[in-house]
Amino acid sequence: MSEDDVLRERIRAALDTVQRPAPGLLARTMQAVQRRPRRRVGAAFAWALVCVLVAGAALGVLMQHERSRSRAPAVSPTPHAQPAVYTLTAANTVLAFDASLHRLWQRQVLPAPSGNDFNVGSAMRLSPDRSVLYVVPLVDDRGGTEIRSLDARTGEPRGAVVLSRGEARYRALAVGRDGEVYAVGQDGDRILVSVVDPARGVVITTRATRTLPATPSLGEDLPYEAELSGGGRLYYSFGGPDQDRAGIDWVDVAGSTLTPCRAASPTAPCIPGPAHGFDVSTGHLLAVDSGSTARVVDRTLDGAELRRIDSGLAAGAQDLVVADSGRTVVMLGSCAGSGGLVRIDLGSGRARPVATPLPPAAQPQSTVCGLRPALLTDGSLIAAAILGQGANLNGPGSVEVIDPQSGRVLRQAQTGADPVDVIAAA
Amino acid sequence: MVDASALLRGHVTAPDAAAFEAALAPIIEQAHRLATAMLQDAQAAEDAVQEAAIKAWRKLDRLRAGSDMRPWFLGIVANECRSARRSRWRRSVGPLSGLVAVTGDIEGRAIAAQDTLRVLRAMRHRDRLVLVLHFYLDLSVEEIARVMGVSPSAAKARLYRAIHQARRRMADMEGRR
Repeated sequence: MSEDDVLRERIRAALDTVQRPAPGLLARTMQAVQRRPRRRVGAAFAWALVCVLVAGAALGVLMQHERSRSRAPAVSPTPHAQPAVYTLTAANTVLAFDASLHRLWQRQVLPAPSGNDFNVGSAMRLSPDRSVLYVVPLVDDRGGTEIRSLDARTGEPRGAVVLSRGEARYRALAVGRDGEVYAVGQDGDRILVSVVDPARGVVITTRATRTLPATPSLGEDLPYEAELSGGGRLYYSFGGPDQDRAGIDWVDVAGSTLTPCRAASPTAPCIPGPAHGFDVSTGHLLAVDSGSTARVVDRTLDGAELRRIDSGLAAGAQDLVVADSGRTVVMLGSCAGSGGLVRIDLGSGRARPVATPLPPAAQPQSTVCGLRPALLTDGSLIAAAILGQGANLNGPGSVEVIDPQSGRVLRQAQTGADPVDVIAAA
Repeated sequence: MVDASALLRGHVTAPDAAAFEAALAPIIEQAHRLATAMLQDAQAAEDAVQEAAIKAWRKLDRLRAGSDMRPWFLGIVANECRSARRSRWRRSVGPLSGLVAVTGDIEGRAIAAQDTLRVLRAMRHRDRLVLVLHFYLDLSVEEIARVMGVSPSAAKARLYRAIHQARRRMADMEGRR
């Protein structure tokens, strides 16, 4: 039996367990169809005309309102509250919320990208002084071609830097202490790192740091996350669950000079294996092994493996958050998997489920779940509540604040399209 | 092939429910299998098929005479499944009904089945769809392309990626065990 035959049998056997005969389905379907009469062309035209008239009336009212506002005496605007949460949606809208998830502003940074379904991952960073928000809006499902700068408090555009005028696409961002921005992207089989001076609006240098092996791509090669360690090393993950093309690499940064890490072979990452979210703030490289049933792999900053910690979450949990001054890792299960929330004590290496992942038979959305979790200043968790493993243009998107001690969803705010990235202004 | 010609001949001037029903009859069971495989919920699957039929009924003028109604209708069903899954996300839903009873020597197969269902559920809609269309409904790459509205080469690439991904996830689960 070929491998495909084995897979076929397995899928058939599994799906046959959920199939149920549906006698009379055609009759019931036709009853439903005939209960909803087809709209005739004439009626459709009439409805369209009504809609145009209503829209025109609404536009007239709005214009009248704007004109009367402009005639009114100038009023000093209320100072903008500093946002606590930012999200970039699959429609290229940036939304800013306060800690209570009241929307403070929103900005369409680019028209909605082509496509329908997009990889979730790092696409935003704040400047060290929290005054500027850097965003890589999507051009297509492979990523973006420029960095847009927004005033972090008001959302007003501050500028743009073009990263690619060709086929290269960028995703993950990191920002250095001195304000330089690092963007990690991909061009065909090459992983790229670009250094950007946002003040001058220029790309200082771009280097291809890795050539991926010539195996077919699963379509998740895109860089997922980038982070600078205290020692001036830029780490970045790419490839997602693809065992053959995924991993974590790093470059040592000295000004605009980037020195890639040396791997066992030119096409192998320095840390090969499925890779999504990671953290280097504790002095260790803590990464989610996203190819299996979510483990945290604890390594030295040079990549030597120290231990593996089973989170108890299903595959699909992609990120981790370091809390309690580096003593605890918090992980959230994805809504496409079994959900759940766990706290891992880094001292003992034990994972404690806070919200239990559901058994396979249960619908995953009846427990807390999400992607791209981040910590708010009060210790609660902000995350993107996305149904699938990708961000969909049609949503329904939302961000949610979760109590990491109980797993309860405390607040939720709609975002329209699914969030691609969520960051906290912590 | 379910030729839409007969169905379309009269619909502009007088919608013909009988012709629509006759066109739907040979494909509705396959549509139901698709919906059940995508949603893993029998009732939701029936709802999705009915909604798809309503939408197909309203969009008949988009069909070309001589075209095959099957991939067109299955595409509508697939989109309904995506929408259904999203709207169900907002409600807390209880466990699946009709689970296979796990006893004795079929326990291993039941575990494998549940693992496979879990792997499928964790995949993206388009990856799950291409696997279901190919391995469960036995559609060819060309037919899959028509259902998904992509080129045959794109459908082939998606199928390859989905196979690769499914095998890896299943192997990971088994390795963990």
